[in-house]
Order: sequence, then C-alpha cells, then structure tokens
Amino acid sequence: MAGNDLDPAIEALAGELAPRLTAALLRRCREELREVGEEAMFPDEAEQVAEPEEPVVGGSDGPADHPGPHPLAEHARREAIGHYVYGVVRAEVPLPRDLVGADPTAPVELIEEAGLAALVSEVPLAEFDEGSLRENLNDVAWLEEKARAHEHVLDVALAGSAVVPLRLCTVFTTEEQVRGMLARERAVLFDALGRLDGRAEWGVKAYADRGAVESEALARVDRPDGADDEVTAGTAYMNRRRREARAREQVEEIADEWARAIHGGLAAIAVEALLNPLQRPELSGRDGEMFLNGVYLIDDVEAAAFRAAVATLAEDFDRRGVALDLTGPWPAYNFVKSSIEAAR
Amino acid sequence: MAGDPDTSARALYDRRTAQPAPPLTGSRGPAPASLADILERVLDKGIVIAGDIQINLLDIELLTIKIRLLIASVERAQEMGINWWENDPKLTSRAKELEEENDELRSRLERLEEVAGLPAPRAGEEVEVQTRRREVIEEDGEKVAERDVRHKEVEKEEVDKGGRRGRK
Repeated sequence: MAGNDLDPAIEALAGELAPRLTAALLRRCREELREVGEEAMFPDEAEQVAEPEEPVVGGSDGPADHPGPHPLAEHARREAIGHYVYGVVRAEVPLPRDLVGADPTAPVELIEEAGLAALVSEVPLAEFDEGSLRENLNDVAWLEEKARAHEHVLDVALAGSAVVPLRLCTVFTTEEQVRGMLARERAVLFDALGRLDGRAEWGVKAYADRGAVESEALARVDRPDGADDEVTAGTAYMNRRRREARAREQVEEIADEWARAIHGGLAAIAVEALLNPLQRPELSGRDGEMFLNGVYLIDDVEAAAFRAAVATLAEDFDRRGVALDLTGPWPAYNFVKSSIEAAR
Repeated sequence: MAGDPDTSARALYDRRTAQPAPPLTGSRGPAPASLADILERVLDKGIVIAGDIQINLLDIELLTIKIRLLIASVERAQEMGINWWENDPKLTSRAKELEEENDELRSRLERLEEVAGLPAPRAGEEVEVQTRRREVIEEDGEKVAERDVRHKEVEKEEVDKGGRRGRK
C-alpha cells in the first residue's frame, strides 16, 4: 500500500473539508438546540466559519445546560455581523439615538474601554468582508454612499466633542476586538484627542479665472519695445510667441505667489496648516482653475478670526479674478497622523 | 460676525460650506460637500487602524490612485454619472499639465496592476488570462521531474455602469 503518497493527499483534503464539515456540524447543532430551545456555547474557533445569518431563536426559557457566556442568538448574529468603526471619542460623550452610518438599518453606538469610546455600527459581513470590499470599493456609487455616511457620523460626533477620525472601512468581527483595539492604542488615541480638543479642521480652496490671470501675466511680461514697428512680420510673430511663452510661465509664477500669500496668511492663525494636491475645479462646480487646496487646524476660539481672515483675503483677491471656497468645520482627518506619529 | 460666541462656532455653520460674514466672493451659498472633498479625507487621511478585515494594502493603493484619477479626471467622473460642474474643461497649459499627470498616474496604475497580477484592460477588449503552475512529480519521495503548466483563456472585458469590471 502506497501509504507515503496517500497521507499528504489525505491531509490536504481533510484541511479543505474541515471548515465545511464544521459548518455542517454547527448547522445540525443549532437545529437540534433550537428544538430544545436552550442556550448553547460555541467555541471561539467556530466563529471563523462563514455562515448565512439565521433567524434569532425565541428567548431562552430554562437554565442553559451548556455553561458559557454566549447565547445562541448572539452567536448567530455575531457570525454574520461586523463592527464598523468610524472614529474614537472620549467615553461617555453624548450621541443622538437615531444616528446611522454605513448600514442605514443599524444605529451608531459607543463601545467603551479604557476611558475611550469607539463610534461603531453593525454591518453585514456579506458586504464588508475582504472579498466583498474589494469589489464594492471599486463601485463608485457604493463608495460614495459609504463615504458620505462615514463622514456624517463623524460630523455629528464633532458637534459634541473632539473626535479622532478613522479611515473608511475599519471593521472588526467582535466587540471584544474593538475594546482590545482601544486598550492597545489607548495612549496614542488619548494623545490625539488631547491635540484635537477644542479644535477643528477647515479647508480653503482657491480658484483663479484663467482670463484674469493671463491678463496679469501679459501685463507683467510686456515691455515697451519701440523697435517692434520696424521688425519683419516673421520677427514680430516670433516676439509674440516668446511673449506668450513667458506669459505662460508667469501664470504659474502668479498662481504660486497667490497660493503662498493666501496659505501663509492663514497658516499664521492656524495651529497647523497643510497643502493638499489640487482637485480638478470642474468637480466643485466652480469656474476657474484651482491653485490652492489648503487645510488648517484652527482653535475654536480662533475660528472667528480665521473666518474673518478668509473673508478679507477673498475681498483682496476678488479683483484679481480669484474665488475662495471655505469648508468646515471638519473632523481633523488631515491632522491626526501627525498626532499619532508624534505620540510614537 | 463680531461677537460670535466661539463655543457655538460649529453650530452656526452649515458644515459643508461655511459662510462667514461678509459672504465670500462668488460663493453660491451652502451646498452638500463635494465628493472630492469627502473622498480625499475618508480614503486618504484619518487614522489607519488594522481591523480584522485586512484590506490588502496594494488594493488600497490602487484604489487611492483610481480615486485621485477620478477627482482629477472629468471624463472618468462623467462615466460615473457625476456631473456637478458646468463648464467643459478648457484646453489650457494647466489643463494639459493635468492631462499629463493623469497619464502618468494611469501608467503607474497599470504598472502596479501588472505587478499585482491584476489585468486592467478596457471595455470590449479581449483579455488573455494566463495561469501558470509548477508541477513537481515525485516518486518514492524523490523529485523526478518538474514542469511548468500554462493555461490560457481568452475572455472579453466588460465595464458596467457602476464602473465594475467583469468578464463575460
């Protein structure tokens, strides 16, 4: 008998079949227990098996025969559910009851640990597990819905306290794991919250009307040139082309100059200021081309001064064909990394 | 507004487009936040904490590049049915620069997808999917032969309205 050849094959096959057998076994267990109507305990390992969500069993009547902390209903529910974390606040921060997030049918709640609270809502793993996420994240309609929902939750939280925003799609399979994360990252999260207390992020984007900038550029480039009248048509043409090329360079220089003036003025009032990559101006519904996309961390007590500074700059630059867009307050997405890194 | 109590600073403003007094030049009033503003924050910023669900970092990198292309590319946004803007892009030197940037990003994307083994063909294109596998033939626990098995299949690439790619 070729025992040598068979054993590895058996091992491989057993490995493949084990999860399926476990799933089948769990199903049978559940059915039997449901008939008896008792609570059951399942080992943690069984949670790894993917199961379709099953209807919650009616309440337990008698004492559980199997010792353990997990009722059948909770377990069945937990298997199909993930816990989506939006951000972190201090424990006991008030939250509206009717706030929903990534899943419109599940309320956002606080999971507390170590003086911190994670903003969490349940999401179906069918939508949020690795395989599904890969597909869904590439579906712009899905992405837009979830991105707006994510931001909305943090927005509401920001109204009441400092909030450390998380990136989209941080999902844990159990509440215990969320608590574990809070305990593990406690120092870093408290430090970030400390840096963000009483502050918010504001965004300023600046757009230049192309025609206005080009006029300014040409004005800077044009030099009185008495000899123009006497040159040939060809030379005049070349002169004009050179002037246009210099004007194009000037346009870039002008945009830089203006960006520095605006950003510098606002950075002076900010706790911290950053420049972000430019967006295509058409996406904002604005005329003109974006030449500044800045974000600023502002103390609440300085917010009025900041807004006044933006308004003053807007007036100054209006005659140059520049429009400013102020958005905020935002949760400090752009300013948490530095907090985390500073703490480490 | 002079005399604003700063503690209620946040409550006074529509979060999306704050309107200080005097109103900003050319501003049209509060509007829902642009998708670009939201995506550049929720996808690219904020703390990264590893949840149980491990999104492959390469996937996120590809996604981020794609989103940057989306934010930077009007044509792509139009394909998605996103059209908040009113003007067509004008062909200016700045726009050309952006086009070049987009091309660069696209090549990076393609190179990354190649490296990751992800095919990225266009809609309607026929795709040849090649899988390779190394077979080791053993006798009595000793390797007697090895060979590469290659399998080719030709499929047609389709892109549906949601921007999802699929093979038919």
